[in-house]
Amino acid sequence: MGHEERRADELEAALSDDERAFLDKLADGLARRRLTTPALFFLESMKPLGFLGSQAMIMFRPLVSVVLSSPDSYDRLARILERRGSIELLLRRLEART
Amino acid sequence: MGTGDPSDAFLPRDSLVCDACFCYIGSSVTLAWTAHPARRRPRDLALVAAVLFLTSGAVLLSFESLFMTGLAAVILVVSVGSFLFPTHYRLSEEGIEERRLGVKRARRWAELRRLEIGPGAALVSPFAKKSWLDRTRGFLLLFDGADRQAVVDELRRRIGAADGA
Repeated sequence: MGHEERRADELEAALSDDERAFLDKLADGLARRRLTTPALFFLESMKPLGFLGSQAMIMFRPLVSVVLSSPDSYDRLARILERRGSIELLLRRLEART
Repeated sequence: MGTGDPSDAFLPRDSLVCDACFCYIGSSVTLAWTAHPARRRPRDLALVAAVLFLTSGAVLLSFESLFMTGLAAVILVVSVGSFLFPTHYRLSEEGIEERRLGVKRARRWAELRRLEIGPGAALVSPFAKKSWLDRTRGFLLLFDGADRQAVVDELRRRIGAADGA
């Protein structure tokens, strides 16, 4: 397997059940809103910037907390995106829902 | 059958080469081959070189910048990389691997859901329906340098297919 695939496999194994369920829920939500294709395009093009994206999410956390009463999901997503291979895991889940 | 080229790190050391199709057969590898269309189609290579030369010339004339000319040439060469450079494919028990210019991509069979077979290549995609990302997330397996029927049979056995041609 390639490095990226191996890294994603390792992350999949390292994720907790809660985190896996969260990624599934996120993919389900995107599929339900028929956003699978735009999300795939966006994530595929932004894949190398996953870590920076997570840090940007942390930077904008104070602003987000004004809008969202309980940004738990936001924090959880930022924590998952910090880990290499996380976007590949989300891509795989979206692919399975096409 | 003869022994494989040991200098090719992509292949297992115990690989054997099938005399009929020059494909590599290893212990866990079902099929392996190298596609290099530029080597087998010199007329198309000449056309690519002409387009590259003319485009680079046009960029040099219009921008008057060596940097932009070099950039244009690099972009063009990369965009026809599957034609110009050798691509190593490997079908194993685990999945598909593709390597070109040192970049390796791989997917498991379980993740691949759609197969379309054309005269010169097969598209293997993780998407059940046609998608713009088919070639980005999936593979375009060139039959160049391979035993087409053996590759098609293997892909059909693993994925199942709808013929594209």
